[in-house]
Amino acid sequence: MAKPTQGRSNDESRETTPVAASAQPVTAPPPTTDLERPVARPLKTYAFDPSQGRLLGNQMCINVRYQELDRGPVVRDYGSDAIAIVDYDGANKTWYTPVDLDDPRILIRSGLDPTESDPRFHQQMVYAVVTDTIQHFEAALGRRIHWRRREHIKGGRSVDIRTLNIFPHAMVAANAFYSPDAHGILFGYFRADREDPGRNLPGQTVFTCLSHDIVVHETTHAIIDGIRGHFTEQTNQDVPAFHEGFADIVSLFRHFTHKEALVETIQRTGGALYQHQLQVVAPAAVEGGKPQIVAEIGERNPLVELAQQFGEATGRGRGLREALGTKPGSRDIEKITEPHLRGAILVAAVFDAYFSIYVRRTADLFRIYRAGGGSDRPTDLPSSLAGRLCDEASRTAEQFFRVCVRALDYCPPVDITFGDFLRAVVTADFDLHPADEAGVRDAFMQAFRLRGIVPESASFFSEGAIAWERAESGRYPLVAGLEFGDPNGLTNDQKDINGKALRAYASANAAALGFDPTIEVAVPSFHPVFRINPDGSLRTDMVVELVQRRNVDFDRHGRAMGSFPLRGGATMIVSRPTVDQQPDPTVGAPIRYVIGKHLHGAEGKLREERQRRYAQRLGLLEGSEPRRFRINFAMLHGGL
Amino acid sequence: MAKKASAAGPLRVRMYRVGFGDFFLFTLPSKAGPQHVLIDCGVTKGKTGKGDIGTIKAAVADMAKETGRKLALIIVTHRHMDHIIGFSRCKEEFEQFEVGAIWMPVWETEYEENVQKLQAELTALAFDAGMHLALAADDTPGRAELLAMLENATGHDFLAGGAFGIAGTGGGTNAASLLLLKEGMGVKPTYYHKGQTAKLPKALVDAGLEAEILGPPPVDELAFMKLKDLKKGVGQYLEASERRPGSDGRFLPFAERFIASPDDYPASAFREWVPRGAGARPAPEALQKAVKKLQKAVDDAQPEVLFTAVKALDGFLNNQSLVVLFTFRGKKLLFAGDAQAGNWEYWLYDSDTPVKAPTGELGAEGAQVLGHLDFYKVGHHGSTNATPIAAVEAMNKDFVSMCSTQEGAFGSVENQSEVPRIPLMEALGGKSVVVRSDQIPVKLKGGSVDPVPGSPEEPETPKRGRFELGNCYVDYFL
Repeated sequence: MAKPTQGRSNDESRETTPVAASAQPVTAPPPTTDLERPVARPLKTYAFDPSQGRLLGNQMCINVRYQELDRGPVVRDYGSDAIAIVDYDGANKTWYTPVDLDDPRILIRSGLDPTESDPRFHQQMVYAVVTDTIQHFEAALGRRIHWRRREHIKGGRSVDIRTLNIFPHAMVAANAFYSPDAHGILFGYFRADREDPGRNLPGQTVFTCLSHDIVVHETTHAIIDGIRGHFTEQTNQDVPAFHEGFADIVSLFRHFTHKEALVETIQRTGGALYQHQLQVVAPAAVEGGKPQIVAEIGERNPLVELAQQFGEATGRGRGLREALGTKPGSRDIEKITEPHLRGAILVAAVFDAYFSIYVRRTADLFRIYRAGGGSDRPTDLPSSLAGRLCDEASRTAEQFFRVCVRALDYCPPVDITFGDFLRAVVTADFDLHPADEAGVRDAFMQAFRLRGIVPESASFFSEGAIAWERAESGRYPLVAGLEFGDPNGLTNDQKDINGKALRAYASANAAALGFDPTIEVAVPSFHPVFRINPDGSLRTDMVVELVQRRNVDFDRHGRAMGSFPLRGGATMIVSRPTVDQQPDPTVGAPIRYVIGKHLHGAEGKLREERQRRYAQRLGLLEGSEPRRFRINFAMLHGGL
Repeated sequence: MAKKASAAGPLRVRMYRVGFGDFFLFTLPSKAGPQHVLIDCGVTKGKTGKGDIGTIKAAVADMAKETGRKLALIIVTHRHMDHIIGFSRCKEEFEQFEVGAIWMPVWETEYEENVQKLQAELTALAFDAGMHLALAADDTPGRAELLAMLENATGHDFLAGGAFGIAGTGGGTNAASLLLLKEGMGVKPTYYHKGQTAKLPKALVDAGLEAEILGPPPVDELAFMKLKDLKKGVGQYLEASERRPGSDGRFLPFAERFIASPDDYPASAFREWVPRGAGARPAPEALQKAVKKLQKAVDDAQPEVLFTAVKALDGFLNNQSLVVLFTFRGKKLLFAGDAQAGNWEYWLYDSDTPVKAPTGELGAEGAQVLGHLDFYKVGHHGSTNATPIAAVEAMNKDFVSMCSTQEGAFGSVENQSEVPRIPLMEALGGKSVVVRSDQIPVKLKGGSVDPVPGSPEEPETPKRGRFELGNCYVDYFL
C-alpha cells in the first residue's frame, strides 16, 4: 500500500495502489481543503422587542464575530471579553435548557426564529446582542475590552470579573441590572400592566432580555465598569447620570444600524428622523376622524424611543425614555438630580448634535430632490433618496458612536461630570481628526451649551479652550520601558513590565503629574490603543489610569461621623514614537495628555465639599460598608 | 407636679417619653389662657422590640389632663407609626378633644387623586413587602429591621398576623389614626408644603405665635415616577414569591419541557465561580460548589433589592415630613419631623441642587433660620441622615435640642448606624444642651422605666430657660 502523500486532505482515507499511483499524471500537490475559520455567525434577534412584531424590520439578523461556543451559549475562549449565558431563574430556583448554537439545525437557518415562548431563542438573542455591543465598542476603542477588575477595599468585598455571566431570566421583576456581585447581568421578566399594557396583552409575560435596547444598555454598564472602574463611585450627581445617559446613548445609536427600520422611518418622517411621530401608513378616510383600520393609527418613532415594549408594559403608555427629551434652552440641568432624568439631558445633547449633523449632511440631497420637482408630502420620498438618507443616517450614527466611545479614554479616571465628557469628546475627536469639516465638534459644543452643560474649568467656550490641554514637549519626562504590544493584546509578561514601569514613573513624577507626592499613586489600568491616522498611518498610544485616594471625614471638625474616600486621578495618554521620531526605543515615550482631577488646591477643596454634600444627600453617612459609595444598578434601575 | 404655664409666663415645650417616637406638647401663655399645640403622638417598637416602653397611653392621659382636652393645633408631621399611632391607640381619649386646627403635609391631601393614589400604593407595597418578609426564613438578612420599618409604615405587626388586618401590639393602626385625624376630630386638616403661608388658628395668632412652613417640598412628578419604579423593582417579585392562602405563588415563564438542571450545562458555564487555577476541567466537588455560588449570587439579588426598596419607602415617608419654624416673642423653635437630606436641602440652600453651592454655603433662608435658634426638635430621633452636618455647623450656640428616641431600637454601633447617632449628639452637644427622652426616668402608678445606662442624673442647665422633669416627660421653659 502506498503511503499517503504530503498535503493530502484530512477527509481522504482512500488507499492508492502502486498501479494507480503510477498511472496518475505528475501534478502539483492538491490545495489544502482545510476550511478557514468563519468570520461571522449570523443570528436572528429582535431589532427592538417582540411588541413590534415583524414591522419596521423588527426581526433582523446580526452577524456577530465567530467564536467557539459551548452550550449556553458560553464562549469557550478565555479572552478578556468572554461571556457566558447561564439561564438560571432565581425566582423559581429553576434552570432552563441551554441552546447549542452549533447545532446544524440552528446554524443552517441563522439561529432559532424569534419567539417569546422558547428560552433558547432568548439565550441566542442575548448572546448576539451582547457580543455585537462588545464588538462595536472594541472597534471604536481600538482594543479588546475587559470586565471589571477588582479594587482592594479594606473590609469590603473585591470583585473581579473574568467571564461576564448573563442570566436571561434571573428574577420576576420589571427590571434588569448589571451586578458586579453576581458577576454579570440579571434580566427580569414580569407581567404587563393590566390597565394600560400598550401593545401587550394585559398581564402577558414580558421579558426584558428580549428588548434589544435593554440588553445593550446593561452591557454598556458592564463595559464602562471595565474601562473606568471608578465611574461607579458616587462622588457627584453626574456620576450615576453619566452611566445611565451613556448606556442610553449607545442603545439609541444601535437603532440607526437597523437598516430596514431606518428606511421605513425615513419614509414615514420624510427624512426628519428626530420626529416623535411617524406618519400614518394610510391617511384617515375622514379628515379629523377616528382611525378605522390599523394603518390609520399613528405610531411613535421607535428610533428615538428606548424600550417601547417595556415602557408600555409598565403602564407608561410610551417608551422608557427618549432621545430628545430635553429641549435646547432648558435649565433642567440646574434642578434635576434623579439619575435617569439627569442622564436624559446628556442623551438629548448628544442626539441634538447628531441630528444637526445629519440634517446638515442631507440638506443637499433634499435640495436636489426638491429642485427636481420633489413632493412636499413626506411619504413620497423615492426609494433611492430614502436609501441615501439611510446611508447618511447610519454613517453619521456610527461616527457619533465612535466619538462618544473613544471619549471614554480621554475622561479623567474619577469623579466624572458631563462637562468632563464634553471636553473628552472634543479632545478625542480633535486628536484623531484635527480637521472637522462637518462641524461635529461644534455641534456637540452647541448642543451641550444649550442644555447648560459647560465644563467647569474651561476658560472660554471655544474648541481650543474646551479641549484638554495637550502636554507641551518636554513638560513631562519620557516614559521609559513601556511595551506597546500589538492589536492582539499584551502578553502577561508585557503587562508585568508595563505595570512596574508605570508605577515607578508615577511615583517618581507624582508632583509633576498633579498628585500628592505623600500618597501612593496606583495604576488601575493601562492598555495600548491602535488607531489609523487621517493619513492612513498607524498610531499607537497607551491609555493609563493613575489614581490616589485619601479618606476624608464627613465632619470637618473631625468628629467620628464616618469618612468617605476622596480620589484624585489622571488619565495619561502616552504615544509610541515612530522610528523617525525616536530611533532609539529605549529612550522612552512622550506623554501627550495628562487629564487630571486633583486632591489638592482649590479644585480639591471644591471636589471634597461637593462629594461630602452629595454623600449626605444619598444618606451615606450611615453605615460602615465601603461599597455603599458605589452605584447599585439594581436600585438605580428599580428607581430607588 | 409641673407648673402650668401662666398668661404672662414662659412658653413650654414638653417632650413625653414614649420610647422610639415623637410626642411633643408646645404650650404658649396667652390672655385667653395657655394655648396648646400637639406635635405628633406615636411610638414604634423598632427592630429589637425595645422601642415601645409602654407609656404612650399614660402620656396621652397626662396630656389630656394638662390641656383640659383642648388643643389649639395638632401637627402631624408624617404618617409613620412612631408619629401617629397614639391617635388610634388612644382613640376614645382623642375623640373627646376640642381641636382648633390640624396641619398635615401635602402628601396627606384628600383633594388630589394622584397623591391619594400614591400614598395608597406606597402602603400597599409596604403590606406586600411585610407579608413576604413575615413568611421568609428567620435568617433572611435584615429581616428584623425591614419588618420594623414596615410596621412603622403601616402600624401593623406582620409577625403577629398584621398582614391580615391584625393591628400591632398595643393597638391602633396608621390607617385608623389617619382616619381619626382626617374625619374624626371635628375639623378638617389643612395640607401644607414649603412655599405656602401657614394659617394659624386665631387663638394662637392672638397669643403672638407665628409659623413658617419649611418643608416638605411641593409635590412633583418625580415622586410618582419613583413609586412606579419602586413597584417595578420589587412589586412583581413580591407578588410572585408570596404564599397567600389559595395561591401556589409560582410564576413560571416557560413550559415544563424547557426545565433543565445544572448538569445540562458545560463546566465552562461555571468557570467564573470556580477558584482561579482550577483549570478547564475542575473537580466535581469544585464544580458543585461553583454551581451553588452562582445560584446564591442570583438568589440574593432580589432580596437585596427588596431590602433597599423598603429603606427607600421609609425614606420617602420621612421626607414627606412637615417642617415648621415657630416664632414666639422673638424666640425660634424648629420642629423638623423626620425630614432627611432631600427635604432639608430644599430650604437650606437656595436651590436643591448641590451643584449650585458645592462649597456647602447655605442659602440666606437656611442661614437665617439655623443661625438664630432657641429650640430644635432633633430630626428622626437623632439619626445621622436627618440633621445634615452643614445644618449643625450653621446653628448658633446656646439653644436647646430635644431628641425623642430610644437607644437600641434601630441600627447598630458596629455598623455606625445606631440611632441616636452618638457623634451627631456630640456635635449638637457642642452647640446646644441636648436632652434625650430615653435619658429621663419614668415613674407612673403602673410602673417605672429607668433611663438608659450612662444617662446624666438630670439635664444640663441651659443658658436660657430651665428644665423640669415630670413623671413621664421633661419640660423646657423658655
